[in-house]
Amino acid sequence: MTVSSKRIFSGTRSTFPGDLRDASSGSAANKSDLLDYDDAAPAVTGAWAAAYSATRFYQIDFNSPRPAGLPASSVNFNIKYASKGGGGSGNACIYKIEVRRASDDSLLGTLDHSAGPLCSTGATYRVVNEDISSLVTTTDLADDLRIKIFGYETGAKGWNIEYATVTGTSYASWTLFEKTYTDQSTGAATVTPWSIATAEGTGAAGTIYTAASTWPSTVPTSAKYLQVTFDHPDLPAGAVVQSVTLKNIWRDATAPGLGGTLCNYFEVYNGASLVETHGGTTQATAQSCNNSNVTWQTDTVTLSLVDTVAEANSMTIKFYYWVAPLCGGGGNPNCVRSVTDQVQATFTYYLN
Amino acid sequence: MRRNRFPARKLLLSIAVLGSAASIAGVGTFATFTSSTSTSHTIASGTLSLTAPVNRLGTGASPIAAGDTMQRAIDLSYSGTISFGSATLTTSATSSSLLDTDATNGLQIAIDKCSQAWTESGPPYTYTCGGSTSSVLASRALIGSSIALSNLTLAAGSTDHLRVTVTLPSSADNTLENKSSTIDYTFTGVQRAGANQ
Repeated sequence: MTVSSKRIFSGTRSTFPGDLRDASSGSAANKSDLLDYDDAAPAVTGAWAAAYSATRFYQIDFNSPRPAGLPASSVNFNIKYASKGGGGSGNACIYKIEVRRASDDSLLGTLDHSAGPLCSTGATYRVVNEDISSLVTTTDLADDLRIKIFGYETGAKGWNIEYATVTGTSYASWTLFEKTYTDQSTGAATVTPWSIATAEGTGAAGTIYTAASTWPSTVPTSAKYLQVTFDHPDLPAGAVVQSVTLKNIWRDATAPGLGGTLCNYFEVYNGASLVETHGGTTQATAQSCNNSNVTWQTDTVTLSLVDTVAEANSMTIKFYYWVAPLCGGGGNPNCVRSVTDQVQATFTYYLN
Repeated sequence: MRRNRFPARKLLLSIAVLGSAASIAGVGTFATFTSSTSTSHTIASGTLSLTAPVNRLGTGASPIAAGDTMQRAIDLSYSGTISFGSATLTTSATSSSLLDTDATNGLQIAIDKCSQAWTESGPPYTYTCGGSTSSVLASRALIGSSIALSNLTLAAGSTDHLRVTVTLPSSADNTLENKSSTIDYTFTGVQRAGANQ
């Protein structure tokens, strides 16, 4: 009797959206994680020293969407960076890169470029793809990854970082995206979590996303929404999708008052194709309503029609908010913005 | 690599018994007449035969996940003229992986017996017993040598209807993903104890 086990056992893997588009005004604005995409929206560091300093670095902790226990290959840290430019600026230089475990900060290895720092030419971007396959050999390590970049700017200015990701292969190509970064380029640390990655529940600045504009009155408007696309579930081809769950934790930015409440429904897309809709366009049929700027509303919804690898990997959600029964005008509830603490998709799947 | 190997070793043992004609002779002191009688008997050795006329153990399973169970039927037929006294099972991996080397989270085996032939459905194979069941081997790690089996009939001319259940425990973690093992099963019968004949 020959017995063979599945390549990936059934399990749940979660990730968050890095791509966020805010169309609360009726015009979509790119509010995505600045470190995720090559989209001309760079993250800007503080001012570095003009030469290497052991206390100045830029540290990135990545998301953890990979199934555990798999071998990983072709693992690369990819960064596109340049000097921020401006008067007196020079070149942005990487002196060394440390690869660490995020959970305990233990050092997996160092890519030492001290003998020949990797420098941009002024404000012209340089792309560096560092092979870290020998350090990140499993998805257990990939799911617990921290990259620490020690650098400087020859004019003691800041950097622009267009993207910083980790790519690899475990049955399929995958990409990891930033969850939290620590900018210690100045010597003093500033820790910034991606606003909708985790549920801090504090409402503190930097841990939430507040819609740019107030939501419409009475009924949702098709042009006004928050759209999220998830940071690459990267289910391998042939995987069997058993379930997909969406979690959205949100509240009002300010209370509408006067009996008003902020409501939403959402649509699930596979790319541009509508897959399913949750909630209706009235207060009675909404996915959820919340009249509080204190209490978080947690919506956990099973997306039963997202049942293929393609749908899972290309899943985009559009949240439509509105104030019910109405808002604006004298004696009516105020029109308010929404605050999002976390959006998370959880995929349960296996691979034979 | 999948191997379909007949998993039950047919065991045929012959018993050699030394036999000789007995002779009885009477002698008188002053005998004039004499007479004698003689007799003889034939002693023939019996046979032990262990066969598996029904056997699904060659059917593998792929791909399995934690919590999966594989049921396979095998009949042990004692077709010789001498009963067995006991039987054991030896399992070995001709192609090994963590599936068979992890005694705790790897494959586990249990065997039970039905008083009549199992009713099979599938594949994937499952079995129901129309009679009574009894445990032949409680759940344990798959690999083992000379594992004692209980509640077998073992009587010459009879058949034990067995269901072998191999399970990958729910506790199997990701280290057991993408592994493959090929298992050989050898059932061995041992002759009953000698007795007056």
